[in-house]
Amino acid sequence: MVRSRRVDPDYVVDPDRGSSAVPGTKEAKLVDPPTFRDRGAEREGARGLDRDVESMPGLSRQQRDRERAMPRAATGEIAHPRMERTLPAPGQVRQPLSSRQRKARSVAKRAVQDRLPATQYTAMTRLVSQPLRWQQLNDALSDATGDAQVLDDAARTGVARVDRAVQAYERANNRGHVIYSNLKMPAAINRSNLEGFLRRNFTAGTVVDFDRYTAGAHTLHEIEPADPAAQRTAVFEIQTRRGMYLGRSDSVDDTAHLLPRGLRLRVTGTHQATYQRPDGSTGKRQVIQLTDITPT
Amino acid sequence: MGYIDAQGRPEIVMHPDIVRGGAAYRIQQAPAEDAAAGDRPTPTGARRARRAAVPTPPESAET
Repeated sequence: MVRSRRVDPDYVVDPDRGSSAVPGTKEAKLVDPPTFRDRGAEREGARGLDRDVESMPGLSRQQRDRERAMPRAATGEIAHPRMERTLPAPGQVRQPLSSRQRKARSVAKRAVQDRLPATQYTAMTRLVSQPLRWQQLNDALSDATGDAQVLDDAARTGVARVDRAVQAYERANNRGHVIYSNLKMPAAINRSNLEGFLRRNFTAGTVVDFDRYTAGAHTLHEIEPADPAAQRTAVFEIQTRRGMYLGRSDSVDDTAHLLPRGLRLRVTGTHQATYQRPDGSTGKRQVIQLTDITPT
Repeated sequence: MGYIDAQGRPEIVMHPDIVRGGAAYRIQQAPAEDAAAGDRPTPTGARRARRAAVPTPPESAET
């Protein structure tokens, strides 16, 4: 990970390192700089090996995928520039996803699921429907700095199947996404110092790596935290082409989205954002805007 | 009834606790696809209606 500047010489904030008791919420952890550097170097090493695998002659794409530490992006072409969703401006009120958008994403998802092999279907279902499985697999990925090759056989097989299912959706999808995902800060952070903490530790240009899978939604109101930790929970607002829509059509308030593991993102800014719920009421959250810069 | 894919499997959806992490906001309006079912009288709904119609005795209200 490359940081634009060191904020505090005693710690670095790793937003994806903590094991969260709430499965879908990332938990930031303060890590000491040497550990942080070592993990960054390991991650770079794994990405370097992935580049070597890609340049090896005589391997099929499937064989290359099996050897990679992190999954390749399989995103297709965007049909029209307007279908590439961009991050909203700081003063812009975040609206619920339109019915047409949800229908389109749901149609693509169902078409992909129709063709999904049983092994990938089972692996995906286990990951996204069993909170304990979600937690265990993601913790293992974080411990391995995102390198699936060092997981045990069962975990690696499961991860590879989920990766292939996500790639199948990415190939079929011709839209961009803006995904919201919660980030719980360390216990020392509360409502009064959250904004300053984000401003200091997530300056524009900071690069963050997600070794884990990321669960999110296309609308902000869906991920409003209920517990007291909400006061120290910020929101990632991520612009990306990656991942798989796992929500439903327009009849249910569900726009879940699974982002793949091994994402690299750049902070473009932090601010307090206003969002609107389907009933017309509004809320405010501290958002960290990120753009996807994952190398292919 | 939810979506069933071409191979007879239910739709893959994310567990609410994973995507929302104990989220507070839940949409109050009944989903459209369940609205028709919601309009039909159900045994549970009928029991609730009968219970609501019966006035509560003062002594039991105090206990």
